[in-house]
Amino acid sequence: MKQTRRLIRLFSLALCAVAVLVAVTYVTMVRTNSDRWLNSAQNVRLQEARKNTRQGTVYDSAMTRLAWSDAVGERSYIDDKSVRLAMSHTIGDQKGMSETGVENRHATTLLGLNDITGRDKTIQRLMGGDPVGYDIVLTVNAEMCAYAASLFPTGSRGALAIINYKTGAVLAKVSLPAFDPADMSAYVEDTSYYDRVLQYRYAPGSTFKIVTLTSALENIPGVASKTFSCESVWSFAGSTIRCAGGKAHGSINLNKAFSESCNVTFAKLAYEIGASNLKTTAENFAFNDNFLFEDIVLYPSGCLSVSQSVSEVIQTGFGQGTTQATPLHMAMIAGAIANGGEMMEPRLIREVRRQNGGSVSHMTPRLYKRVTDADTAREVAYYMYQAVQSGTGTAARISGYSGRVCGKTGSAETTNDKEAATNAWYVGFLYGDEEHPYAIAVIVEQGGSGGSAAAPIASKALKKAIELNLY
Amino acid sequence: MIFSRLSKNRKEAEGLRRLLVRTDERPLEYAVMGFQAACLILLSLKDGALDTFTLAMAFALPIGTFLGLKLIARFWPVDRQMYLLTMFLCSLSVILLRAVFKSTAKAETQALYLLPGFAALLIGIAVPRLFTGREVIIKLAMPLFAALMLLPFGFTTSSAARSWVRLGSMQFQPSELLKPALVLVLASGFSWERKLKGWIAYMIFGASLCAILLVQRDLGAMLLYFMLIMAMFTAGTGKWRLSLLAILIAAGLGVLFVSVSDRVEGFGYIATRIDIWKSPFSGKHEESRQIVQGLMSVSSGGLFGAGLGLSYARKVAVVGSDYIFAAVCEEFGMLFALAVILIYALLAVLGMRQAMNARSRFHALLAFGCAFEIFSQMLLIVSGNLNILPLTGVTLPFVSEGGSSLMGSMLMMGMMLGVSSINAQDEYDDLMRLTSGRGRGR
Amino acid sequence: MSPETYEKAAVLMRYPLAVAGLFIALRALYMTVKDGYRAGKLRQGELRYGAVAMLTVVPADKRGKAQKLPVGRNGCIGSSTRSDVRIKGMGLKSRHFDYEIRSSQMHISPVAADDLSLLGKRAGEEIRGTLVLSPGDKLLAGKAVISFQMLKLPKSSTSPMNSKVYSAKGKRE
Repeated sequence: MKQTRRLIRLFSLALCAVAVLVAVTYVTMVRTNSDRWLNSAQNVRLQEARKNTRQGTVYDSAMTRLAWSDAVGERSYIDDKSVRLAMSHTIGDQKGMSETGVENRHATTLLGLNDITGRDKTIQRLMGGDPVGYDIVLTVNAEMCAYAASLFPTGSRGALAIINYKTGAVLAKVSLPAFDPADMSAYVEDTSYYDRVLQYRYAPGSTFKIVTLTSALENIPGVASKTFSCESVWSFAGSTIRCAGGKAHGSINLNKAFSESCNVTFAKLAYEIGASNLKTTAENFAFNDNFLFEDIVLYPSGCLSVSQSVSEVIQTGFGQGTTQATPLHMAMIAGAIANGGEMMEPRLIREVRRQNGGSVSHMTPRLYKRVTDADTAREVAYYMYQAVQSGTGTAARISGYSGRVCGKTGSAETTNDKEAATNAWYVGFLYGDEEHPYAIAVIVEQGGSGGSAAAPIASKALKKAIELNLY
Repeated sequence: MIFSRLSKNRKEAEGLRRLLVRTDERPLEYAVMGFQAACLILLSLKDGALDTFTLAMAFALPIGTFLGLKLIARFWPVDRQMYLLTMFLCSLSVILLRAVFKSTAKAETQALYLLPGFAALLIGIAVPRLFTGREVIIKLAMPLFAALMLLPFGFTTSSAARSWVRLGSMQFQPSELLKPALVLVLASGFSWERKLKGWIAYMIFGASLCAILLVQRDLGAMLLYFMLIMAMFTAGTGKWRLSLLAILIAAGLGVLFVSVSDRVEGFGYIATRIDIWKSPFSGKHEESRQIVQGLMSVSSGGLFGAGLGLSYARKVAVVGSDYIFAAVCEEFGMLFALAVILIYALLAVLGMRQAMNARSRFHALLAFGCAFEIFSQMLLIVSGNLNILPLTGVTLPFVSEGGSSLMGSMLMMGMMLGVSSINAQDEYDDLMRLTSGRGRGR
Repeated sequence: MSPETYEKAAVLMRYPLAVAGLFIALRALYMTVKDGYRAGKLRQGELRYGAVAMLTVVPADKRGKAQKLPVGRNGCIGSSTRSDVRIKGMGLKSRHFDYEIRSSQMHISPVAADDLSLLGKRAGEEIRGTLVLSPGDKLLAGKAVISFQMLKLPKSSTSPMNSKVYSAKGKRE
């Protein structure tokens, strides 16, 4: 009898523990996922709410009205078409075409459905009148986006992202081709609804050398003083590595190799670092992470996740092979180097407000992960400074700006066809400027060389950002 | 008072009084009655014109709860807390069914089921008082049991994972109704047989029931039956190492079975369910719609719910029985849903406490089995709703709609109340014996 | 009532209803904890007032003291703390046999023993399955001679305890 009692007591304790476990799982699950789940297109509540609720207004960081509803079921957009096009992927649309836009991803906020305590819902019902949703103030600046979009050659495709590397706020993002949220019936190109900043994965090309460089500095002692030799071509493990333009860099050190973007050196470096160390460094930089950010949808980037064969590793060294990254992620990487090795979580929403002005929530910067230690970051930043000063990135220098411009160009191959145009990349930041802590990533699809197609765009864009004093 | 007889010392008497007197259940009783009335009065106004049935229920339920308690307590000193919590859950069922659906049909059916449900409760209370566990009739129940479980084979089964019997317009589920009988049989078997060979018969009986359920493709019920049998075996025989071994073997076999299930005829849906469980939002399968809507419903409630009658829980498939917990979350909110989980845990703990207080091993195992069964059922269904586990098609006791489920749960609750009444009686008798004529001590 | 008015009422009622639900659960929790403390204390004292018989244990070689132990209605007898009635140092296994007292007789079900035998009047009787002892019968288990006597308990004033049906109108205090 005693034994039976003892066992029963054990069962009842186990039962209590399990009940607590279930309760805790329930609460955490709802807290982390409800926002994402409720904004899915299958949510009937969104459709019903659109029928009787006045959606909130979307403001840019300068409090310019971008999208608003004067009445239930209506939606008006800012008059300026260039702004509408430039910010189309950020604003979103009423038809559910854009996955990343605020009107889609944060529909629950704009409709006031994410009112946890029910306070606003209760007050509104009691006072009568149309229910209204919350307003969203973005971190993105409309004027900057419109200007950035104009920097791309007409008809080109590409993306641009500027972030504040100290807070993680996304200051500008443009994806081309774009669509017009005010005129959804107009014909647009097939891929116009995709947000190339957040959803497109490109081969980073030479911009990935930032990661390889970090990995080399961390894993190979004394690599900074080593000498490498480049004869324009290197055949190894079944692959043939060539430097851009058939250039042979001869006998160079690491600094020169980075500035001049020597593929052969970085391929050899990657081989010396080895698959597992290189993958670890890449994953420190958030490659292969499944990004589940609160504000923003960001598709994952991949590095050495499919194959880790030797030929894959040496190609990864200069950002080819199966390596892939989104433009925003590249901007985050640049920002992390500028920020002493700390990668901040990207934020799109500065503030959520009630229509009558009270603030519901305010953005607080969050650290996402530490990519490397501060000393290594400083060293890499120095190399990137040299690349703009005297290397392939000289077109990124900003006239009239006295601060330090650091960056890395890239010309990423997309096919094995030697004649095909490469994607032009530029990834960089302004170092040590407290008032303008900007990191930027620019890609022009099939734009050719990063130094000549992407770097000038970045230079002008950053100059405008400094002028507008974005923060 | 008897305490003054127990001790001349006033301080000791006061201490004894505090020790022996149970906490007053009236605040709980009034709270439950108030809740029932408030919800149903509100709901009666839901569709514009006053709904007389719902309004009638708004008075009938609290009065029924109140009178029911008076009636039962008049004859048997049952644990009133357990009774009140059970009535709370039963009325929650009627309230939710009225609030979630546009038509009142489901709520009305469920409300009508409460009457036979109460009768089942009374029958359940009588069972432990009548049986001491050695009755031959319990042993004879085993073949009868197996025969009843086989009934669904004679009738057409509608969906892939249910074991229903349809008689005219009524349908019932033998596996639900027979759960209390299973607890009874196992309690009797494991309390009186002390040797391995005695237990073998019961284990074979249990295994064959699980096998029947497996063939009927009701895997949720099979899982519940298996867990119950193992729990009662462990508690009854004390051989926890043996049962741990058995569980590990069964788990291994289970994993094996699941991995080949897509090749076995009729069990292909298992692989689909597991797929859906792992990534519900991938949209690969048609069937994932249910869990997707369910998860959205769970998240839509906020802390205080959407408001009675204002939820969209009706968009979730089978929300009345399988996803009723999601309806609780959306109608009443997260705080209330956590309170419901707490209430089930309390019911189980109280049941197990009665088991610990019981004077005979049979009653102890009876109460334990019922408590374990009700709790594990809640665990499976809530985990299924929250996608912690794949959905298994079991029901939330008392709250899910459905006659068979309600009857089975009421019978088990009745048995627990019966054991509690015996315990209370024994305590009282012993105290009386202690104090009359002998003063303190023995 | 118009839908808007209903909506107002339902939205407002969310808060009291959630509070009611929480109150019910928390009050039940409070009652459970409080009564649990009570139940534990009563269980400790159970043997004191729940005893129905007195066991007499005498060592078989007649050397050593006889023990008198009050016992409850059913339980397990053995030498370890895992058994309900503990008899030390007399060659009993840790859980030797189970007993149950019904209608003034003790029913024995051996758990781990095959060395039970009867002495005295019923000596030499074959033991098959359950053994039934009457007060005064002597049982040899290990090296202990066990016998029992029923306790003369005063009749409780309100409930005649029928072993089959408890039909009392027992009120709780």
